[in-house]
Amino acid sequence: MNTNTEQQVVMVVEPDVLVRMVIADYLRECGYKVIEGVAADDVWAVLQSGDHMDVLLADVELAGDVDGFTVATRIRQTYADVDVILTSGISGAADKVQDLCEDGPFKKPYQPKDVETRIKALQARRRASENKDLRQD
Amino acid sequence: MEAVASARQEAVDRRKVVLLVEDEFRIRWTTSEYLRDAGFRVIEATSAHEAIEVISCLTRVDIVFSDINLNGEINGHLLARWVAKYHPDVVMLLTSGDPSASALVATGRTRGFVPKPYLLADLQLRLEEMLGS
Repeated sequence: MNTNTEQQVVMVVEPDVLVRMVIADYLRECGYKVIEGVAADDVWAVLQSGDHMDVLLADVELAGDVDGFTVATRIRQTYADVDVILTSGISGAADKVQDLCEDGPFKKPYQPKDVETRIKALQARRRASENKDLRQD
Repeated sequence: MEAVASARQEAVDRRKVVLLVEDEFRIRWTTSEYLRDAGFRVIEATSAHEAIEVISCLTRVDIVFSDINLNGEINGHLLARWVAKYHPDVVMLLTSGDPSASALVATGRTRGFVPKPYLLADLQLRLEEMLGS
């Protein structure tokens, strides 16, 4: 887990180039290191390389055969230190997404600043949880 | 505070913009990270179609660095032809693992070719040279 002083890493997995460009640029301007991907394989490539990511921001519809739901499920099972935010432009996907990422999905079109607010909230929650664990040890 | 924000924005806007067109994730990932650390703004596209979409939405692009063999119907050669026709002021640098592909690349002040695999430091120099920076 990165500390507060280290640059937080967000992986943005979004097949639409214009959506990806806007959110990735915005998060970089906010100070995050951003890795861009379009498919589930890109996520596995980063995680298996040993590079760390703090947050995965992924659309439910991805390039390739594996969708965002599947990626989120596997991350929750295998990489518990990665927070997941799913996005969707599909109405009706919300209920399914609710079970896979904290605080529900981001419905497209979203405001980049709202994504950053969500990232900050997730990171604050994680830090609070880690501090609580430390106090209990 | 406003002056600081404004100066920062100005520095950001002065960065040269590279549109990196590469369908292999690992190459795109390492190349884009290196070039960002070197001070470029990098826009990542996974196909020529995406590159055309980015340029067509009036995003400022100073140089397109594209693989020749790309997924989809449009390869790097066709992308270069499109850029030359509709955005002749945009510099175009092509790359390929197939050395014979260079024979088909029109070269000159605004066109060039680098063979794959390339050293990232060499790529940076080539981009800076072509951009005159």
